[in-house]
Amino acid sequence: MRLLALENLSKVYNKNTRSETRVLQNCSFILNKGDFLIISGESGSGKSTFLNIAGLLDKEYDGEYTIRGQAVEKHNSNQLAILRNEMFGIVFQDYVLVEDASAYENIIIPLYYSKKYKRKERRNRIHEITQTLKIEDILNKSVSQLSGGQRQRVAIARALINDPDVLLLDEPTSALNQDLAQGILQFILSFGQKHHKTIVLVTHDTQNIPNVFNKHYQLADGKMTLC
Amino acid sequence: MMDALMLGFKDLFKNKRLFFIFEACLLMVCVIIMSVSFALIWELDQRSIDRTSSEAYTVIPTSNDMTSNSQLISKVNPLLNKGGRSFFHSEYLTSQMGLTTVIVIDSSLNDLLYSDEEMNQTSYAKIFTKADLDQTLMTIDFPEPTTFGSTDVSRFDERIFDSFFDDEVIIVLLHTNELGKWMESTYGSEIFDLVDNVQFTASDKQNGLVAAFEAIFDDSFLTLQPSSYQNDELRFILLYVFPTIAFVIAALLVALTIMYISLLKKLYREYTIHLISGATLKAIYARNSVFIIILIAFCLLGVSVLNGFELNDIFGIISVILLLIFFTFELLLYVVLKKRNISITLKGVD
Repeated sequence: MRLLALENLSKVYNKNTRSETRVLQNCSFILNKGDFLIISGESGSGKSTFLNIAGLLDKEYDGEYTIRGQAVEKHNSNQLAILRNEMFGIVFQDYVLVEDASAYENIIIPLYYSKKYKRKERRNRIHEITQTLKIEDILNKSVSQLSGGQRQRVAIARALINDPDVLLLDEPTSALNQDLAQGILQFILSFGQKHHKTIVLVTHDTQNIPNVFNKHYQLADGKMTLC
Repeated sequence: MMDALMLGFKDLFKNKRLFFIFEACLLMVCVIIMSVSFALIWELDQRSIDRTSSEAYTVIPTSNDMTSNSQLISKVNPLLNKGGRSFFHSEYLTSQMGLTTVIVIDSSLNDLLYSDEEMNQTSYAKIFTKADLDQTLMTIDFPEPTTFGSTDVSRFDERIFDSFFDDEVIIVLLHTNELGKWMESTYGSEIFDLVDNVQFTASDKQNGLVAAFEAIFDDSFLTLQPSSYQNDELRFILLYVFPTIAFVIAALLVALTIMYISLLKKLYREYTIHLISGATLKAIYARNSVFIIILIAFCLLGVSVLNGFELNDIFGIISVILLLIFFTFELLLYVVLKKRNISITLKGVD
C-alpha cells in the first residue's frame, strides 16, 4: 500500500537571490507501508531538506507530494497539523527537545493534539513507551540534565508516543558513540518490525547499518537515485 | 483547547519574572495615560464652559494697611449681587461648625436654588452640605436669616462646587447687602480669598461689571492682575507635557514590544516543536493569548482600582489602549509564526 509519493521534487533555497542554492532536483520517491528505507548522501546533499519536506515541515518546494493518494497542497493547515500528529514521528539528529522542560513534558507533546489517545489514556501510554525505552526513572528530570543517550531516547519516545505510521529518522545516532548508536538503532528497527511501522532513515554513514532495509536511495548533486 | 490554555498558564509560570516586568511597564503606561487624560479632560471641560472668555484675577497685596477692608467689602458686595461669582472660606463658621465652611456668592444660582418668596427677601442665606449637620447648624448664630436647604448639592454648577471636598459645608448667600457681617475684616484674609476666587463671564464684562470691579482696587491695598491661568495650563499641557508623555509612552511601548519579541523568540522553539508534533496555529494562538490576556486583565484591574472602579472616560481610554496592545501583540505573533520556517528553526539558524 502506497503511503506517500514525491514526484519531481525540487527545492531551492534563497530563490532569485545571489545566494540561490538548488538542493534537490526532480527527485522522485515512493514509500509503501512497511518499507524500511535508507536515504544516504554526503553532508549537505539535501537529506535533511528532503526529510523536512516529507515530514510536512517545509511547504516551499516544487513538485507533487501525495499522501495516501491525496495531494498535500490541497490540505489546509489544520489537516496538515493532523497529518503531522498522526502519520509522522520524527527523530532529529540534535534531538530537538524543549530544554527547560522535563522528559515527561517533552514526551507528552504529541498527545496534547492526538485524537488517537484520550486525555485519561495519556499516562498509561507514556508509561508503556518509557518502559519499553527504559527511561521511566528519568521522566521528571529536566532534559538539560540528561546524557546524550538519554536525550535521544526521550526524543524517540516523543516520536513513538502517538503511534505514528511513519518514523522519519534524521541521523538519529550521529551524536552518540558507536555502541550507544548501535543499541538505539537496533531498538528502533526492532520496534518498527514488531509494530509494523514504516521507517525512513537518513544517514551519511551506511557502514554500520543493520541489514533490514529493503530500499536504499542515494542523494548526490541534488539527484536521488534508487540503489 | 484546554491543553493549549494549560500550556499558556505554564508559560506564564515559567516566565513569571518577565511577566511582572511586563505588568509594571504596562501599568506605568496606563497610569501616565490616566494622569494626562484626567488633566486633559478637566481642561477641555473647563474650556467647554467658556472659561476662555471669563475674567479671573491673581491678587497681590501691596500694603499692610487693612483699614480699608470694610470699605472694600461694601463696594464689592453690590457688584457681586449684579453678576459674577466668588467664594471664600469662613474662619468664624469653620470654627463653629467644626468643618471647613465655604461661603458662595453667585447670583446666577438664584433661580436654581431659591423660590420667588425667598428671592423677594433683601437678604437671605441657605446652607447646603453633604454632611449630616442638622443638629450643629441649629445651634449656630448666623449673621442673617438662614435656612437649611435640601437641594441636591450635585445640581450646583460644577464650576464652583467641584472644587470643594465632599465633607465641606457650603453656604450659598442670596443677595446679601450685609456681606461684611459674614466676613472677618480685621486681617483681610477672607477678602483676599473672595477677590482671588472671583470670576466674571463675558456678559458680565459687557455689562460693565468687570471695569467697575477693577476700579474698586485702584487705590486699594490689593492689586489685581488678570489671570490667564486656564489658557496657560492648557498651553503647557499641550506644548510640553503631551510631547514628553508621548515620548515616554512611545519608549515604554517600544520596550514592551522588544521584550515581547524576545519572549516570542524564547518560546518559538517550543512552539515549533509543538507544531511538528501536530499543534495547529490556533492552538499556539490560544496558548500565547493566555499570557497576554492575563497581563492585560491584571493591568485593567490595577487601573480600575486607581480609578475607583468607575466606568468613565478614563476607563474607556485605557480599555481601548489595552485592546490595541492586545491586537498588536497578536499581530506580532501572527507575523512571527507565518514568516518563519519550521525546518530552519530546527537547524538552529533562528
